[in-house]
Amino acid sequence: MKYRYTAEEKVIVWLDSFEALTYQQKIKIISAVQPLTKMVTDFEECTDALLKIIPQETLNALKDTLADGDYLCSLLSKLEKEDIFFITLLSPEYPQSLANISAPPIILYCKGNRNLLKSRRFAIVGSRRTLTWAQAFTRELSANICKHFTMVTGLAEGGDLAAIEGVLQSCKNTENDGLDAPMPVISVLAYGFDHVYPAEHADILKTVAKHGLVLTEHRPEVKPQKFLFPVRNRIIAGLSEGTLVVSAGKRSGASITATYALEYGRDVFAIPYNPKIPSGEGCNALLKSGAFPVDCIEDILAHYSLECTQNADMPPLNNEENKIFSYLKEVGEAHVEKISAATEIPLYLLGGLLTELEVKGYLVRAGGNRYTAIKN
Amino acid sequence: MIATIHSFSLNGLDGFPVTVEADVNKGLPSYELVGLPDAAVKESKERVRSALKNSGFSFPVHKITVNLAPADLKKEGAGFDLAVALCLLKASDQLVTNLTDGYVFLGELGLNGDLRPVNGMLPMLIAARDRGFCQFILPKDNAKEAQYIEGVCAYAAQNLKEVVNHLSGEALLSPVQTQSFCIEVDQNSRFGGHDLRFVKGQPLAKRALEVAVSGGHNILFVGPPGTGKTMLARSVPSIMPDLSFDEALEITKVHSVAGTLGEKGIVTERPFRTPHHTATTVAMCGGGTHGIRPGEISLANGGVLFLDELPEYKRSTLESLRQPLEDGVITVSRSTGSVSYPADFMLCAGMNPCPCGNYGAEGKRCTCTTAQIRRYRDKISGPLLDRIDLQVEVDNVRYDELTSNREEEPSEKVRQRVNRARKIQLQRFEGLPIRTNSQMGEAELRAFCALSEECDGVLRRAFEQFHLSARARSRIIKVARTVADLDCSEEIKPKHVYEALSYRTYDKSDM
Repeated sequence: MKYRYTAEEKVIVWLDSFEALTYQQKIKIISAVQPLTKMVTDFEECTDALLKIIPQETLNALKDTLADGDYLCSLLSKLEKEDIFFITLLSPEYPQSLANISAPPIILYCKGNRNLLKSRRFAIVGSRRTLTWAQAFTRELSANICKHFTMVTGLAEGGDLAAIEGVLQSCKNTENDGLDAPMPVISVLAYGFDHVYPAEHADILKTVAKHGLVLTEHRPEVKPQKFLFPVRNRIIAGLSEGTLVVSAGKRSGASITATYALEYGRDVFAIPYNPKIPSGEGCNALLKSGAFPVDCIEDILAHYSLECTQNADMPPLNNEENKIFSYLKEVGEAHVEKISAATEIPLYLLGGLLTELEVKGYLVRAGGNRYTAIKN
Repeated sequence: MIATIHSFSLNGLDGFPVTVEADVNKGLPSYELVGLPDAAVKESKERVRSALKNSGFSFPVHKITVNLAPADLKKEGAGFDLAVALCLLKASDQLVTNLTDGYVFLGELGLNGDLRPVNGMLPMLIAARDRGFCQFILPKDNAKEAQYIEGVCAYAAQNLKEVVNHLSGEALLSPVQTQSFCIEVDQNSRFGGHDLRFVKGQPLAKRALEVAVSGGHNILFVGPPGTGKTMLARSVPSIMPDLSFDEALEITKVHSVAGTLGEKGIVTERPFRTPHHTATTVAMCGGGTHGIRPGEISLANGGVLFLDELPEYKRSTLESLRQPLEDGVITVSRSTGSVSYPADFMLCAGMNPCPCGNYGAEGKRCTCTTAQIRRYRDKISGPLLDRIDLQVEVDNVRYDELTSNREEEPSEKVRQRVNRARKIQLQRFEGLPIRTNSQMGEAELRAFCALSEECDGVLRRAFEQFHLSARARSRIIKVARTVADLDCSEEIKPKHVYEALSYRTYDKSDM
């Protein structure tokens, strides 16, 4: 076997394989039976203690699988076949910051680089509907933060994806451009490894599992379900020193993650938005209740007394481009006709110039023929 | 006694001569029509009987056999009525003349003996002329179609009586005067009154249209409902180059077969077809129960096919457009035979950015989830989208722009620039089977669109930034070539590439 586990760890993965056991029951069993290995070596002696926690049928089911010697073996080999390893609440590797939260997952099924759990971690979360400029900004922040922290996030489109892409970008830019370069990113799933949600992110999941780390508290066969996602968010918050919310509606998963982070006493950062932008309402609400505002990378790095490494120089702009860019910097977002009127550049030339600036990374298209400046 | 008369029939746009033979014999009165007639041809018996009676002749009370030769080709339509009637008159000695041999007779008969127009007159006349026939007798309502064809002496008759009088020499019909082709000059009624100067705002979309028409590229407008996508599309014919006579004839052929020609007799404007999104594949490509009729794409030949609400069309219908978009011709095959129709059209399509229509609109909130938007956009397959070189966002027009009196540029001016760009292309592709930039293949791309190192660098950067697909590259280069042509520039410069890139909204979006 590729992975080695202690007897205790094996007991926990065995316990976790029972659908009938709730999280609460498992936690109670783990604290009631001391040492936990007694469950296997001397099951009869544990029965009294167990019956206080679980009903008779469940107990019988546990007992049956104990009699069957192959049960645990096949469980472990199935995981190993899929290249999944696990870390339990009792493992020494289990991240301390996660153990400290009020309901820590008893087991983490993982794929990828386990060393990332030893590094410093920072979470970036955002709603699925994140505006293009916010996505671009997120990529920029994430590309910088990942030089000091391991990025923790989910796998959804919008904010999560932008955070992952930022790390990808930054790893690509570094010297050791090999495909096997480690990627400091942890993606936390809300379902088992047999599934991918959203399905079109299968490639990204594969990339992160290969170069970064993907983890989940669920057995591989657990399907993605709506209610599992907010519960998953406690792991993202729990793993991280700080959490940055890049976009959040009034009641979005990103706000839930931030709420967990506050509860656990971690730092919460948020990007400020203009009023009345739906995907920014949650961020502004967080700022009002005391989150740290972030409008440049230094806001985060300075908080942790870190130095900002300067990005590569931007390609230079000519006169006209400068005119457009400085106008957009001033107004934020503008329609092409307004840009044309302000810069006195005829529209049929402007289209090309704007795309040029977009290619050079100064602007993003905001939809409806409007553009936003993303550099300052 | 046996009599023979010449007539003509159509198969697609091509015609073949039909000899109508009648044999009137003694025996029990009967009427037999042979030679693969369809229902409309068979029914000619009753029309001919009444028409003869009401024109002062008698329907022979004999054993009658009528044959349409060649006997193994299917004959369709009511166009043989006149020929059958004259054949009977000749066979029963009510008309004694040898003149009939020099003529081709075409026309449907009414019960009172009046001649009614038939569809497909123009292609029939051209095909007959090419086979050596030069004298025609046809219904008056079809006369206009004959007047543009050189080398044709056509006589237009009102009714059967006039035809008989002409043949017997009692009262001669005067031949239809040939006319030279001219385009209507009344600017206000041209193009159904559609002109770019009536479209307020939308300068970006207008510019994109100009580029699209110049290079013969297909175009897709993406925008919320009610932003003028349809109006923009309707003005496309007004900026397309003027029709040449050959083109007009080619277009008229299809419309003549379909029976959509109207009063003019020749098409003087580029067609603009807007099939509804419930259109079937057959309606779009051609086919049908009574013969193989041209579909919408053939009716749009030489003009614009506008598909509004593109994702609402049936997937199979849209996919069927792919091959004609490449080839400019559609071959419809059925058990009864196969027919080729021209289908060289410019595809102009409109769609909303998302199911609710408000995605990206200023001041409006889109209620769609990203998955919904993706599903909506995925309704249009990649290969089809690949054939649409320009994708443009059309956004809401502000109220003061709608009410402003600012002079918008008229179509006339835009057309001049388009004509100039087309001329450059014609010179470039001299001796090649293509006319516009959009038709370039890999070999032409290599020959005519060499990119400077600088331009290549621009494209390389854009590819990384926008995650463009490999096949997007050649389309971007083609559009850049057209933009350069509009700019009268020999080489493609970076600014042309950037403009071409700006028309690929859809490839770039992360959705």
